[in-house]
Amino acid sequence: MDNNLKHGHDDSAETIVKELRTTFREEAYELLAELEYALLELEKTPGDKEQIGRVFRAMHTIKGSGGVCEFHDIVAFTHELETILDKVRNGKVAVTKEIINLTLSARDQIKALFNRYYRGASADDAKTREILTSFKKLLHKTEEHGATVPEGTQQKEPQIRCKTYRIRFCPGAAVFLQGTNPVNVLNELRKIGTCKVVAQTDAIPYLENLDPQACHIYWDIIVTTSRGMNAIRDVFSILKDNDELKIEVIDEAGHLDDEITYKKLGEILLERGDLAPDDLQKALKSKKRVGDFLIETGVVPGTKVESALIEQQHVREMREQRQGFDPLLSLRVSTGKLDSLVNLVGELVTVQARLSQTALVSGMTELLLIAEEVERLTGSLRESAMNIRMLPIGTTFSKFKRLVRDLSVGLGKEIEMTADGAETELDKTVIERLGDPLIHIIRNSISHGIEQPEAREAAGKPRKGAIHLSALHSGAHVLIQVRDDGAGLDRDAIRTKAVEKGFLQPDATPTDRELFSLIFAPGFSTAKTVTDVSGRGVGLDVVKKTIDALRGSITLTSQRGMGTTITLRLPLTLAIIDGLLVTIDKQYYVMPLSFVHECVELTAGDKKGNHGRHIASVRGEIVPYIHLREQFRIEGDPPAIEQIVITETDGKRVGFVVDIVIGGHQTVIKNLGTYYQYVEGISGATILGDGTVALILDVPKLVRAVEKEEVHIAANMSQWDLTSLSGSG
Amino acid sequence: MSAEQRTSGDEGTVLCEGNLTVNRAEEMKSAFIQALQNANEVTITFTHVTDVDLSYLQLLCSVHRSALRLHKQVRFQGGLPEILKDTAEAAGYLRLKGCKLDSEKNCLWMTVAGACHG
Repeated sequence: MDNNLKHGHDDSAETIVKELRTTFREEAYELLAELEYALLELEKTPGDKEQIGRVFRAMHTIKGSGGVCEFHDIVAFTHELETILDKVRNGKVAVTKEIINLTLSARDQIKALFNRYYRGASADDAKTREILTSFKKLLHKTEEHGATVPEGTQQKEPQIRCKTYRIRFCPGAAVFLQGTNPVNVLNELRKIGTCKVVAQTDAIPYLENLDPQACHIYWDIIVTTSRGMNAIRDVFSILKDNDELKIEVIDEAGHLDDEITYKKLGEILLERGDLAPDDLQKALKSKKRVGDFLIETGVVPGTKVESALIEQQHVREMREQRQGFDPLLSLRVSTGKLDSLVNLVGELVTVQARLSQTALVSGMTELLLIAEEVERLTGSLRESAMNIRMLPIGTTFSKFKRLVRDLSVGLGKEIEMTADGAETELDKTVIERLGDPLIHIIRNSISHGIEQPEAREAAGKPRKGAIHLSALHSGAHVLIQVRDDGAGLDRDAIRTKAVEKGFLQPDATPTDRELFSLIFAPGFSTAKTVTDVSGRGVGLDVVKKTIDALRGSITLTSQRGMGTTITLRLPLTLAIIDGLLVTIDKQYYVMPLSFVHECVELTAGDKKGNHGRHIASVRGEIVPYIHLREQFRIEGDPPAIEQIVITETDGKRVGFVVDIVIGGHQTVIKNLGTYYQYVEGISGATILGDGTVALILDVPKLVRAVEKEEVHIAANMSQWDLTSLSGSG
Repeated sequence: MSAEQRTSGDEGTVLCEGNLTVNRAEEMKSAFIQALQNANEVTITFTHVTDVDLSYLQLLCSVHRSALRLHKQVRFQGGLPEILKDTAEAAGYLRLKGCKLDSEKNCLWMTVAGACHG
């Protein structure tokens, strides 16, 4: 990756560039994501200058930071692109589908170039030239046809160095006759920043007293700009002596109050001199909202209350924007440092559990009080540390917009992707590992779910198919749903395929849920043709494995002709889980509570009644169970009454027989280390309060391992039967 | 160019046409005074409006509050000229709350705001 560093640099300069490149790495990919998102938004609203500005800013930052990092090819490429985009920004070239497509390709090429530096991947430089040539051809064509840009919204500037000013502008009575149009002044102000204008009309007299050529109007203006007080004064420089002007700073990054909340309505009106303190007191004593009281009693005109409310809203919006931009309010920390913090907090939770237990045993009141205090603080610390790792899932969602767009075009389908719950937060690791499974699911929806536009129309559906992504919190879990309004699963086709591939007995009568769960089995695919999108029979089984590894679960519902919904249930975090602590022969085990449904007793009598078969009757329902003592080959006799922990995985209820169920346990997950990481059925370990180690059971893997074992035994048995038969013949 | 005023029974109409700027402010004021004296319901209609300035917006405010004091009604009829909407928007006239006299919430600028954003 460093072969691009200039020759002739001394070592220290090279080291600096290396460090700069490392620092920029994460930001570079974030900027590419931002560029992609802004382009897709711009495609929806081609006239939106704010989106054009976003595209331009992202490209500009890539160029600037790329220059500092000495990515010369990226700088040269983005420089050319910036020149082209500048024409779009200045309205000389309209935003068209072709421009968007080309800019998206350019974005992909920049990514390839970054990958060459950061990941040692290959990148085709000819493609850079190809894209630029296509751009030049397109611009030539567009300029020949004299394209114009549709009117868009006012462009906003980043709020980092902006100040917000409150202005009261009272022109003299003669302003109309002096040839000065106050509206021009207001329009000039709009050019220097984000501006809100309210005309105050309370001084306009009744008709008989009105001098129609005299100005009786004055204005309240709120403007946010980075251009400073002088720029504002310049706008008003045409004022005459009789005109009155009051300008004050009401909000400024870093200097004044930086909370999102702003002054109360009464405070603003007092500051403006529109309300007397006594009247404010009366308003506050009334049971009504201050604004309503003041208008109803006629103490303050409605327009002044409205103007103050507009100020309140404006400042709040500016502060919200600033919080998103202000570098002082956020800090980039490496994931390694964060992981180390979470590990240390995990250690602390373990030590704290020991302290609490020791305190309890000692019976010393003072020690107990200290232990309680430490427990409370550790709990808060754990929550804060885990919160730092939480990221909104929206970043992952936005990646899929491009996927849907490109794949649907490739397959000749029309699909719109919508999303809600983008703000739902999940552990960073979970989000990272969730990307691929979601891509597989969405690819499947596009390929197998959504029909061709003509087929949809023939079925009485809108031409455009819909894929909806949603995320929401549900206790300690997040539910992520991918819903499409496509053809739905073909029950008969799945059944036929399942029988054909030996997943199902020909005479079996599975429920929809059982049948649909087969599509997650390895090697199962009902696609008639293999496309580059899907249909190779891999994908959904990978999804299943990944979700299992995340201690999550998948459910699928589908209605023929109406669509399919796949729901992923994932834990909020991978570092600490809610577990159920159990013992087998004095050895502790933790079962993730998310799988556990209930616990029932298993007596020696029950076992006898079932003639050695591992099944229990739970309220009339037959539930198979895994006898963990036998499974783990633990010697010794089980207690007379054992416990069955009934779990549910893949829609099946399976019991786990243990000696004793102790109860709920906040489990800090520790890896087992390199030598033990592939032990089947155990996903990790945790340290209990007294220092002993408890193994965390991997419920789905245990179930699968036992199922596999039984299939193997059954096959051997039938082979044995055949051998013995032939022998006897 | 005219600021014509017609009255029939309880209803009066002021027709605003052409240049609605400070040069014609006195003329228009007279037309509105006359209309409010002769009718209980005054409608303002527009035709071929070429220009609007602040003096006209101010006059409309004065007309509306004078009518409210006399317990009479003033309203716009027909489509509003684009230039009137644009000038009102640029001058910060579009609003959600009327003035203190406007207890019935029929401020003319609320109507214009509705026409601009609705």
